[in-house]
Amino acid sequence: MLFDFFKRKKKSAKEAAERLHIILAHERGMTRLPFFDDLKADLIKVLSKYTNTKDSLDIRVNRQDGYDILEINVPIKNKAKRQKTPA
Amino acid sequence: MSKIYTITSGKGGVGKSTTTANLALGMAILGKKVVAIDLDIGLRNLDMILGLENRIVYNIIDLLEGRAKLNSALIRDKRNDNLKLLAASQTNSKEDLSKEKFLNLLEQLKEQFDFVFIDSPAGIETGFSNAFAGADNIIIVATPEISSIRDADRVVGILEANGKKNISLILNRVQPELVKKGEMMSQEDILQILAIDLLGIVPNDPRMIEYTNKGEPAVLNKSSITANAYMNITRRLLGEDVPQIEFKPKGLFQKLFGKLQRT
Ligand SMILES: Nc1ncnc2c1ncn2[C@@H]1O[C@H](COP(=O)(O)OP(=O)(O)OP(=O)(O)O)[C@@H](O)[C@H]1O
Ligand SMILES: [Mg+2]
Repeated sequence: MLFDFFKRKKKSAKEAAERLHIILAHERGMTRLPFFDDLKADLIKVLSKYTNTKDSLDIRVNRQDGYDILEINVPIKNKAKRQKTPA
Repeated sequence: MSKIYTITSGKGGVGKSTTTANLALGMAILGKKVVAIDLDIGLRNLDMILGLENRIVYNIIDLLEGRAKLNSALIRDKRNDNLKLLAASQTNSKEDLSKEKFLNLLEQLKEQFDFVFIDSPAGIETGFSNAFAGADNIIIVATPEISSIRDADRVVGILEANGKKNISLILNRVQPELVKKGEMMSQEDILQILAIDLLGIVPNDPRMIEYTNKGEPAVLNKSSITANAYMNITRRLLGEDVPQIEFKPKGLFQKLFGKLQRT
């Protein structure tokens, strides 16, 4: 099929670059930031007061112009917890 | 004012020693006084790439442990008086090198030479940290493969954590035909990922094995496709503005729909 033909044509170099972007963004936290584990634990502590997202907390480090940029993504799956349950 | 460069990579076998040999000899050809240091203790290699293996009497461990004088440990290149080699020891392990003594040696060498090139062992252990400790410039050699780039990124992280600022990349074994077909990552892809400066691109040279077999680095062969790349890099290290060659993939759409787009 024509569509398959185009799909197969997806260039392997692009795929390599995309895979690298993703894996490195995730690895860099652990390899570059000495405080990574503590930061993650603290973030989970704080976030779990308000949401149930601790397992899907996504921390990335992207590089730009020789700097490391920390990106924290917090997917909100459930509605926020009610305010009545304090930590 | 001498400059200390460490050539490193993380991943093994990507071309550190080949690069060190060619940059050192290239720099000597341009008239600079150069010493190349093989710091891959236990896995000596640079001597054979340079064709100097039969001249070695003393190695760097002999020198650092006081069994040899500096002048007898520095092996003179048979083709170019400007180049000296300090060989690795074959019998010791990486831990046998005293970092403190090595740093003192570098201070001494700085006074006698314009350039010091240190060939680092693969990996991110002791041998690697000894290799970059005294360097003011780091050259990372990587090939356009995911494992090499991933390791290079890790190494950049470690170097930056250790306060190293002048880190640049040599992209080795590039195959322009594959890049054009989109089957090998381009320099743009890789530079975007690593976010360090590009020092140079060295194409894949099928004749490299021939040069190594003979102990005659590529820069001695004018007809070699890599000789030019290495000499360009050498000139860049001297501050000359030598433009990079670019190998860009052709856009698929451009290729297929170029005609349609024009309408
Ligand atoms: N540009 C090139 N074109 C073709 N072959 C190359 C190129 N650069 C290096 N090679 C080959 O790749 C192999 C590994 O090179 P080299 O020994 O320099 O790598 P290395 O990084 O020093 O390895 P190690 O990590 O074991 O010290 C050698 O066979 C060498 O000839
Ligand atoms: Mg080597």
